[in-house]
Amino acid sequence: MITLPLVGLLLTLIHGYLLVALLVRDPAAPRRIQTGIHGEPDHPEDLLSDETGAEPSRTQPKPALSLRWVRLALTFGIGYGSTSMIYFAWRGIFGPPDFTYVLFELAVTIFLLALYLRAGFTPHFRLSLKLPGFQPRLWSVLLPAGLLLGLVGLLAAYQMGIHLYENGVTDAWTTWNLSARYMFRTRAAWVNLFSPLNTDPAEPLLFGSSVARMWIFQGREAQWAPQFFGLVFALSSLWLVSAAASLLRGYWVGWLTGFAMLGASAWVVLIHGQTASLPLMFFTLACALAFYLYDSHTSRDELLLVFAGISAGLMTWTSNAAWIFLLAFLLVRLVWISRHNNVAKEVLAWQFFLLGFLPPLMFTLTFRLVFIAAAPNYTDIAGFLDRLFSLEQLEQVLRGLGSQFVTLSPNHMVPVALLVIFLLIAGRQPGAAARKADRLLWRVILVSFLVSLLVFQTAPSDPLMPLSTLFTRLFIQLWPLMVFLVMMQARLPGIAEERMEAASRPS
Amino acid sequence: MESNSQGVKPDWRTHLALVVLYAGVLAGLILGLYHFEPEIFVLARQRGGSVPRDEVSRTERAIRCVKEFLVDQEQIGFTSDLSPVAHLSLYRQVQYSLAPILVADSLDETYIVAFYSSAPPQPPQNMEGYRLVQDCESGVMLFHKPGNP
Repeated sequence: MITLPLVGLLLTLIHGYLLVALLVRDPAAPRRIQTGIHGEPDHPEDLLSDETGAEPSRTQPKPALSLRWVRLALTFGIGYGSTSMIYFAWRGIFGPPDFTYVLFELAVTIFLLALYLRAGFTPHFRLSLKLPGFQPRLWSVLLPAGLLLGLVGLLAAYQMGIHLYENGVTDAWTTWNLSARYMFRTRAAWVNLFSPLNTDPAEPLLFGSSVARMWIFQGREAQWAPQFFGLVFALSSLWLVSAAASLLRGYWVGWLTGFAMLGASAWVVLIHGQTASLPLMFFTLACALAFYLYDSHTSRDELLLVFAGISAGLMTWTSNAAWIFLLAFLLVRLVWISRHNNVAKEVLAWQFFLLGFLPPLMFTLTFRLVFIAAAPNYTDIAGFLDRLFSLEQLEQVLRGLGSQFVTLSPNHMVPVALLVIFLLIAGRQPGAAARKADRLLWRVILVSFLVSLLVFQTAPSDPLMPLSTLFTRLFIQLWPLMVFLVMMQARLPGIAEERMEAASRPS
Repeated sequence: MESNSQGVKPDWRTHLALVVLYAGVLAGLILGLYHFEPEIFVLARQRGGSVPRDEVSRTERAIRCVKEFLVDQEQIGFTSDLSPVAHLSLYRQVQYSLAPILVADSLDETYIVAFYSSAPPQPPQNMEGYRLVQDCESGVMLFHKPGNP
């Protein structure tokens, strides 16, 4: 056993950073930026350097400041996803990991580093904080102060939560932490994890593998690993949504987006929870944002779609609930293609998406095969059909939905209502309603809610996991997307110059 | 809203929307913090005691005393005298605590972990043929059927 948890975290970070830097490139790198969603570029002569015959640089241009924030926000999450798959593969092929596993992880890291350097990248770690330049100065102070205060509150809630609930909320110890224990504690019969005696053996293993991997580095079980895991994904999501808004609409809106995300008490009280809802929220956000950037023509780099595919694949490796979003996503895009007759372009986009989606999906499918072999009688099609047509179950779902309107804490409807009121008062940006990226994402969120109602209708009831808990999980998965879209739509003093910063710099 | 070099100038609607959002976000945060009943922590600090832990952590501690007897077991049974929902919750806590041993919610196994909220009848109901191996004095008992490994 190794006793260097920091080495494990460092390898997670390096994996994540290298993968993200390879796939989420600067919009200027492919030199195919079109006019952004917020008007003309600030320095069109730089964007058109291909046409003007400028000598292309051998190295990638230095990325815009906001883009570097986006990359760093993605680093930990993608790193955890990637290393969890490596751990799972090792566990399945060679048995319980030991020191040779650490050497293997190091070798994979060196391989990724070689790819990174071969692609002509040079690391840029210098970051600076730009304070919002918004008049009057009152908001320039109030917004960062509010965000800082909110983060302190968030960490206080986390601290109280992990003190009161050392092993996390109910589904953390019935499912997610339980799978980590099976992966770590059992030398041979770890497939006992899939016994029908367990609560939900059908859930995939990103959480379990990541936590068990950290315990390998730690040398023993330690509850900080799942607690830290959840916190990192929660903060990464906050950071990512804020950085993405900053990239698209300027720093000021970025700060505001991060601040608005703190308004959901249901999310605040779950950060300590050690559940897969937190990584699922992060990967859903990463996948949707990558498509948003592509659809809004902010970047026409197809590698971004590969990255979206990887994020979607990691969603399926995180939780079965991922399929609600993915199914909604697929339905909305199919309807869009059929109505707008742009099949060729969309087929090309899906090819790149699948390139990223399939490798992590292979892990999910492998897990399914192991699961089916270990628990062949788990599938209950007759029960599924019974519930599908059960009026009693429908009544329960509708009651559960109705209860969301009257529960005060943690509440889901109040934060959504707050966003709607904010948008109504601030008004919409001119032309925002017609933007393809925004319209598609709104529809995906709406259809996700509808698909989830179908899932709730067919899911077997569990006294320890009432419907209200399932609603909370769904809300948390989609909350950052709702905040992001409202901020993209609202008529706010946004500027587009940061987005074009890279293009305006000499290579 | 007019354009300027910074993009657009805010008008009264922007300010009003921001005030509403600011107040709403802070209210949401406070609600979230109060969910954990921070007064428990204040009271515990004032009295110099510790904050009570959640059920599963307590079960983990209570069940430690039977673990040494179950090292070689792959599957064991479980029983309790609790109500159905409390029984289900405790059963899952035991499964979590004893993993990777599989815990069946039945009395058909060689070893049975039993939880009693009050003193059990002697011998406990449905446990005929089993021998008490360990009494942890926290309501947790371990029974074994003689003649089986």
